[in-house]
Amino acid sequence: MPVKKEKISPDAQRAVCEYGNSLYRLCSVMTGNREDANDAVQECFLKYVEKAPDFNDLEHEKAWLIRVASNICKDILRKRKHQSFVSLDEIRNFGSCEDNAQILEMLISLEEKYRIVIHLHYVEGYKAREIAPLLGISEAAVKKRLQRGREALKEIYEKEAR
Amino acid sequence: MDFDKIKPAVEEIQLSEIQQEKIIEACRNKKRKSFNYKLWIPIAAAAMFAVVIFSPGFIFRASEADMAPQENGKGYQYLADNCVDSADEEINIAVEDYITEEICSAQGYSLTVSVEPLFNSGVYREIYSVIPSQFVWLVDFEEYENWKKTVNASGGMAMLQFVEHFGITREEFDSANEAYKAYIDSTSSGALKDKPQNSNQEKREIFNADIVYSFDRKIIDEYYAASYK
Repeated sequence: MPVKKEKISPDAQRAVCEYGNSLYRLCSVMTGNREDANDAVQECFLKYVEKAPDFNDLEHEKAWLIRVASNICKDILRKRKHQSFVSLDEIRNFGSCEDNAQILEMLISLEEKYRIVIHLHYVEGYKAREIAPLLGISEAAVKKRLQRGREALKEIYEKEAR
Repeated sequence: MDFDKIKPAVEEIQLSEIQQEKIIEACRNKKRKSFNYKLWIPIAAAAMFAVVIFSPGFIFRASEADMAPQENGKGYQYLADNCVDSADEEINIAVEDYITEEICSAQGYSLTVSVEPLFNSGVYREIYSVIPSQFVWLVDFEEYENWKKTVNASGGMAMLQFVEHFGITREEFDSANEAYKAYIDSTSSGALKDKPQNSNQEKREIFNADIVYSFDRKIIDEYYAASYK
């Protein structure tokens, strides 16, 4: 007997098309690994479909997805703690040119807590006060992490330049 | 370092059409990645075999040592809710989750509410020199630990230094103060609405946000002076 497929809600398909790339970037930066990033994005959309929460607007929807994706990535990182870290070749696979690959490499080498705020601020364009509820920390903590993250990036950059 | 280069570099990362289709397909079927039975069945079988050969007691009997709290250098792990010492009875070992200090630190919060003074409050009331955990939770734990080492009485009230250093907004402050009040309410005869009248009442005092947010050291020092001392 053929398995009857559930009809996909148009919202899920729209969400994958609209936020898929954005979440994939976030998860790639968080995990530094294509396969993990892909799994995290898929898990995130599955939760979206299963929980089907009501959103006030598109921004609310995107914020929810980002929060869920970052939590999934944290779980992945926690599980991976005792495994070897991501190879440089894996990172280079992300960027098409050497410069971009180098920037990604520096970004991924940051501590996780700095990496995510730098990503949300510089790539997604969120302000500190918008990042705070996404990560469940205070605005002051976000600003501090942004500052520390920038300092760490500069330090890595200068080391590489020498 | 040009931070504007981050965005174009990261934006190169994109889901392929095939990846997108697979995700949509997974959403349609509400199906997660299948479990790799081919890989895990032999591993599980080998593990079971090793346990039966080398440590049969693990399966058939819970020893007294197994039932005692296990100290692993980071904290105690309590086992044995319903441990029984007969192999004939059903063995039901409940393992309680336990939270170590290390985990709490890593996640940026402490296990217990702390109100330890950061310096000797001297002529001021106890609250002058403390940052309760409800406020510490607003900031990065590691950064707080570093900052704590630099605080001293010459900088004025600890909370004023904390608010200025971490840029705590009035809104955040009020919510933390409310949580601190709830904590005092739950542990003593309740938080004070006004200044304490004697040193015994000092532990029940909460922060006066208007005074702290005056950012005026003279006003703050005057308000928090223990006039009865």
